[in-house]
Order: sequence, then C-alpha cells, then structure tokens
Amino acid sequence: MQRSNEQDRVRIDLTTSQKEQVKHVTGREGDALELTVHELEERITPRLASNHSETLLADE
Amino acid sequence: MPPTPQPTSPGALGALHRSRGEFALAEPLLRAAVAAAEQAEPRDALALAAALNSLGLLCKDVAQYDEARALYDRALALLQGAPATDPRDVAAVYHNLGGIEHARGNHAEGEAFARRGLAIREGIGGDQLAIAVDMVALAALLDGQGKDDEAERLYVEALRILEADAAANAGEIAVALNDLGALYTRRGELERAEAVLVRAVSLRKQALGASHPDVAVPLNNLAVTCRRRGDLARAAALYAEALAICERSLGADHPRTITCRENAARCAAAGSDAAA
Repeated sequence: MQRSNEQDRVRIDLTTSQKEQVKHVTGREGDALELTVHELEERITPRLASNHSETLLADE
Repeated sequence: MPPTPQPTSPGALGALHRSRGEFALAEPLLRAAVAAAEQAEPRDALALAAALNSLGLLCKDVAQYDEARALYDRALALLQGAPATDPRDVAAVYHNLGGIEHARGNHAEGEAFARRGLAIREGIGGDQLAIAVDMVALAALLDGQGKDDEAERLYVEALRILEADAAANAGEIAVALNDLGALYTRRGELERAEAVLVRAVSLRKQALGASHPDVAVPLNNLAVTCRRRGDLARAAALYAEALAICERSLGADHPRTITCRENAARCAAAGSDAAA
C-alpha cells in the first residue's frame, strides 16, 4: 500500500447526494472536501471507537 | 485526481482493515500500535488507552473475549488516571465493556457498564447519535435478560434519533434493526420481525458489502424468523449464506459460526422431518 505524508492534502470529490447534505447542514456549496492526511485519519479512526452488541439468535 | 491515500500509522491502518472485516491483517498492526504506545517516551496515557481500546475491539471480533476484557479494563484505568481525559472516551470504554459482557452472555454485568456509559453521555449532552448508539447497546443487554419493555423502548427511541439522518447513520440503524428484529422473533411477533430484519440485511450489505462478517448476523436472525414462519426453503438459503460468510471470515470455531451451523442443521433436520 502507498504511504502518505501526514501533511499531504487529500481531495474527496462529493457525490450529488453528499453535496446536498453539506448544503443542508452548513449552507455552503462545494464540489469537494480537502483534508490533510492527519485530519482524514482522525475522522476514519476516532480516538476511542465503540463496538456493537448484536443479538444472534439460536434457533432452539 | 491524486491516488487514494492509505493511513500513515499502524493503528489507523489496522483500524481500516478491521472495519473491512480483514481481521488477520488488522491484528499485527493493532498489536504493533499498542507496543509503540507502550514504548513511547514520555508515555502518553491517552494514546495508549486508545491503542488498547482498538485492539480490544478486534479481540471481541475474533472472540478473544478474555483478552478484550483485560484490554478494556486497562484502557479504563489509564483514562481514569489521566488528568486530560475526555469523558466521551470513558463512556466509550464503558460501552465496550458492556459489549464484551454481552458477547460472553454476562448480561447483568454488562448492563451495569452500559448504564454507566449512557449516563456519562447523557450528562455531557449534545451528541444524540452517540446517545442513540449507547441506547442500542444497553437494550441488547436488557433483551438478553428478558427485560423486553425497556429494551424495546430504547430501540425505538434510538431508531427515532438515528432515522433523522438515515443515510449517514445507516450502519447504526442496521444494528438497532437487527436487535429489535431479534427481540420480536423471540416474542413470536414474526411478521413484524421479518420486515425489520429484511431492512437490516439490506442496510448492512449496502454499507459493508455482501461478504462482510457483520452481514451474517441479521442474515442468521432473518433465517430463524423464516424457519419459525414455516418457510424452510428460504430459511435454508439464508443460513447457507450466513454460514459461508462466517466460515470464510471468522473461521469454523468462532461462536458466531457455530451458532449459524447449528441453526442450519436444525433447519435441515426440520426439512427432512417435513418431507418424511
């Protein structure tokens, strides 16, 4: 896998639906988001994540 | 357009693999992240707690429950001893302690942890999504003890919050629907359960892909519901799909795989009896 420098900037092009969501939440219009790799990692891997407690049925 | 970047740290890369259900790839990276945090000078207690928590999540995924519990206990102690701890992180670890006891079937012990985590979140206020996720986790522990009324109320309230932004919260909605559907099935409300579980399967497949290990859970529960409704052919097909996912991604000896395999065998036996 390619490694990136933490200060590299990442451009994420938005879909039509995502543009509408951004407009709805922030009132701003745009075609893409730009984050540093560090900022992106903070969003991908929040500091302390939570697990899920999912019921798995046994058919008895 | 530049190539999609990959995470720069073992912990972030490990978390990415874990999110994809690639547990064998995730484990060495998450263990390396813990080792690096242990050896850091000066030691950053919050960073170490985060690394321990991330490894704990993986250990739960692969049914190493004792190790997961020990990792969460240690993360909680570190957080409680650090002056700059964010209470949201403490709430997350209580949530995870509840989750590990849910997986081990210790529902009453897990309930106490889940209630503590939810109380912290509600005390902070504001983050309705996190509160809803904690409600679902608590409800699963109540469901495991037959405390149906409070469990159902929490699932419904959590879904009301999550559905306010259904697209963004699809993954969490799928978890809540799976658990609510399982509760309905256990109570014999099979038509209601089927509708809820069909949506849970659909959301899970959309969010994670059809072969992700987390898809197997609502598939199994939908199969149980179909079997109890007498639709053995559909149940058998759903069990086969769930079991294939579990065997491929979790291995033959994982508790989830074993449950799916035993359910499939009972369904096949019921089909044989019906044909005789």
